[in-house]
Amino acid sequence: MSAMGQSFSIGFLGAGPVTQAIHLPTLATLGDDWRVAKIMDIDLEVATLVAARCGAQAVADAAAIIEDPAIDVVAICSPNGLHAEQAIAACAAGKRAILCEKPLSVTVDEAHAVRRAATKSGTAVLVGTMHLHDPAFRAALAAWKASGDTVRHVKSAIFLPPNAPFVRLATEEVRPSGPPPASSGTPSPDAQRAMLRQVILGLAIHHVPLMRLFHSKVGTLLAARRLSPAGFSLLMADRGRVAEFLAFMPGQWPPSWTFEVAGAHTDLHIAFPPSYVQAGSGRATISTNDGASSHFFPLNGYQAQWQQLHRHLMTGEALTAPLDAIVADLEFTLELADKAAAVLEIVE
Amino acid sequence: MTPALSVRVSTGSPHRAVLATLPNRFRATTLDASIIVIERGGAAAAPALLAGSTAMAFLADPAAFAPDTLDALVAACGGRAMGFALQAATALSNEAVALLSEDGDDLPFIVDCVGETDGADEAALRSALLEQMMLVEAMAGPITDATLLLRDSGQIIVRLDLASGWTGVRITARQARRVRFTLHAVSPTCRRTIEILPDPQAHPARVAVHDRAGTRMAPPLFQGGYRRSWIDFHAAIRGDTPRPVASLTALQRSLAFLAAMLGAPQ
Repeated sequence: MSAMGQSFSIGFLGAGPVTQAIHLPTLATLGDDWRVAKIMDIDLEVATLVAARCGAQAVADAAAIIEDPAIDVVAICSPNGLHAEQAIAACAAGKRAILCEKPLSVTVDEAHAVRRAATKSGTAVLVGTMHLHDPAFRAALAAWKASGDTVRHVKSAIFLPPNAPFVRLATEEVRPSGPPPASSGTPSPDAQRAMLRQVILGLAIHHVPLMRLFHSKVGTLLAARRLSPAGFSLLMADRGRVAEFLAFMPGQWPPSWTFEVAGAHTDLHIAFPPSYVQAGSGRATISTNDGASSHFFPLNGYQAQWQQLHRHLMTGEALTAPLDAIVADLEFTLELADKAAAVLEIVE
Repeated sequence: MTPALSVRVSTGSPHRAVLATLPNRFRATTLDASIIVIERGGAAAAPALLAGSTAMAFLADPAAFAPDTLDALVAACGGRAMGFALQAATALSNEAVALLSEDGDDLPFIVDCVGETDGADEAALRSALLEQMMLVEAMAGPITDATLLLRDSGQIIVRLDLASGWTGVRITARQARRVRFTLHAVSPTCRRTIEILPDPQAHPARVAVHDRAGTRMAPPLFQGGYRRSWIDFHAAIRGDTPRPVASLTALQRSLAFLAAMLGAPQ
């Protein structure tokens, strides 16, 4: 039993790098708050190898987790297109909570359907936008709110090298992922728009919940560039505020995840650590003309989100992102993708 | 030793403090002098002032000049050296310029530059834009096109395209609590970052290059852009080879783009 008194069981849907290199190492830092009871993967051999590492049962069928009454929490780490369907099924099965990797779904209708299902069943839904839960970000956000300043400019910048070296720092994959498939030829304009949508759902989604705290509406898309193979530069303006999303991967430089907000009198800047590795929280700074304050904590956003979900199940503590906010995050992301596609400039 | 050149500059100008750090080169005065500092409000009258004089001109706020006014001033100076004050591009040390130029074999996909200004009017935003245009030119060569993306009371955003192949370069001038310039250029092999907090005399530019070898930084040089502008001006007066960071041609080109996008300076 944990200090808070109860250990909850988790069933993982998907046993890929996110499960192996992020969630299992994270859960291993959290004592006995959680028990990994089952791990599902369509490749039963992978599921078996991963499950053996944490004393869980391997299954190849999602229903074997979703319909198992002994499972308290379903962790959805499957391909994006399956998230909503599996979340709805978990709600229908009366699960106490879902931790769904981002994005919650790939369409707005699906997101609304998840909300209806979760509201009906009383299932808690936490989407794994780890930087929203990062303790340094939460502290900096509180300091920003206390400043009472007005937002003028928000910028998310995500520059990432290949994931594989960082995955290897976090675990030893049972079957190392290969490099992403190389593109062949120049995609058609429609294919380019689809690729932009994919990469926005894959990368921008990390910081959309943070962005929406400061820039709640997409507004007017002033510029959008898709960068090959995976990246974008998006500029939007709404009611005197300007927001930017910059992202590119893979590069040959060290990773950089930053998020910054500029007001009239106050600046917020946070640099997050690389994903996968256990390197503590981001390093946040709130600056004014009177000086600066910094925030850093030993736990990272992944740990914080699992801890919060545990407290929610134990005490009913409100989740950082209520369902309505989660759905609004997805609506924002898809609106951004649609508007960006309309003004898209492709850079090879 | 060559005598210090006299500089006519108002008592309230920030250039007084800068000149005080270069006493072998310059001596500030409010009387007639070898060099006249043209402040923002004196731009329009500057050609006539210099035409009837043997003095040289130093432009304290080059963004205050309309392109034709600057051309007239250049003509009025009749080949005499002319200097101008910049905070950003000139703050780059020679080592920083060399570092930024390394590994430049692939074009940056993202170039995002922000100039924060504590000025409350559009003239301050215009100056911040000019600073960034000169900074981008110092890094990557001539600007070939400039497109206004956003203009409101608190910020102006412009897209630049350069002859070197840098396209979609975004520069933002924004009212803020301080003066600061940042630039981030990202290509698949190299990320370049610059932060300049332009104390007129002595704040170092932070210049870093991130690539597969890790992160390298230019050695910090505790010299602000204004001080370096005066040193470059003094070198030009002596006939030395100019540093490739702030040419008159680049200034004329940038002012022409600014005028085309924003109209003549007020």
